[in-house]
Amino acid sequence: MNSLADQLEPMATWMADTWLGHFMLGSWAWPWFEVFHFIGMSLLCGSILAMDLRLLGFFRKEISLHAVHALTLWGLLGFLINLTTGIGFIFKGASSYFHNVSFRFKMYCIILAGLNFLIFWFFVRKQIEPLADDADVGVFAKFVGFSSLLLWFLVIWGGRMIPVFGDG
Amino acid sequence: MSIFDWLSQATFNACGVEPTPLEPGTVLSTFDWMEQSAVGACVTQSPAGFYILLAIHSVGLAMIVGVMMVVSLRLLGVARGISAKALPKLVSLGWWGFWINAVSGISLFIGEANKMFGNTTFRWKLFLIFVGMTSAYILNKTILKPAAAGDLSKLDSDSAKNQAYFSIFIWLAVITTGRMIAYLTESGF
Repeated sequence: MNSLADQLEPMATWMADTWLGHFMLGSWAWPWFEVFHFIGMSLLCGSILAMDLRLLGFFRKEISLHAVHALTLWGLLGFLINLTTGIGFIFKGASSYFHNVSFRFKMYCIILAGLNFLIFWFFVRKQIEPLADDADVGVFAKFVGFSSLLLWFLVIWGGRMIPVFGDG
Repeated sequence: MSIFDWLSQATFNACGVEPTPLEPGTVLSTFDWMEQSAVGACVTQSPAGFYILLAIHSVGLAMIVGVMMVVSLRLLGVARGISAKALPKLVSLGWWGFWINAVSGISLFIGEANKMFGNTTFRWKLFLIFVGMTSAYILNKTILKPAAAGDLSKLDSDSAKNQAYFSIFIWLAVITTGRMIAYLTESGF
């Protein structure tokens, strides 16, 4: 009953027939991709937890507002690991993923989290640049930190609930 | 009706799961009793119970492993602006993740006690978690807390770096065995 998923059906068929789609059918490809998907998740979430809690005002005296952003690169590395392994999963079962409401929920949350990150990178970072290392940030920066935590939590939730609503 | 029976019945009702009827006088093995208890039945038989617990388990995992990775990376020279004082606090946050996963993990185990107890990969995972939490405790006690108290030389010591590498290795191994439980179903140690 979902027009977007139905429209994407030819693409899903094509994806399953690519070398990646065939590779993912191998008995060990999927489990090892899952291992790396979880490692990437931990790297991403650990970095985000430290950065966002600091934005929200926790660890103000202990974590420098600026230095914590050195973790951004590690968070991005975690995200890239998950993007790569995630693409592998989708190539194997694109059709069932596109029809899976939990998968779609997860993807929307990732898009929102990505936009949230861009807002942080292009606006919030400039706002907090002149502040002292132990400064409290403004309401807007806190809101961005809070939405980041919430959205990544929902991404994990949505990802884990995918099997409840179909294959994957 | 005892309080235990009432709690059990209330849990069954809340999950919308029927208890398995038993012949009077039946004696269940411990693991069968776990699987048929209110918690065990709700984990495996309620529509989403199993996956809600798995979702919570993943959040706890991200907390403990994520925080230990950040602490380890700091010891290896990344994000030096995270001061020594913050490190024991971050480890406490990781312990929160551990307790979330202890509770969700025990609940999941109760639902599949027979299958899980025999699973070799599951046993390896439990062993590695024990090693991981012990090493986190030792790291906190020998390096992070003394450093937070002012002995900053600890942070740049070889011991700190070795422990950081070890911690990263152990937690990656925990994730690997945890994921592989679903695929390596051989039993025995």
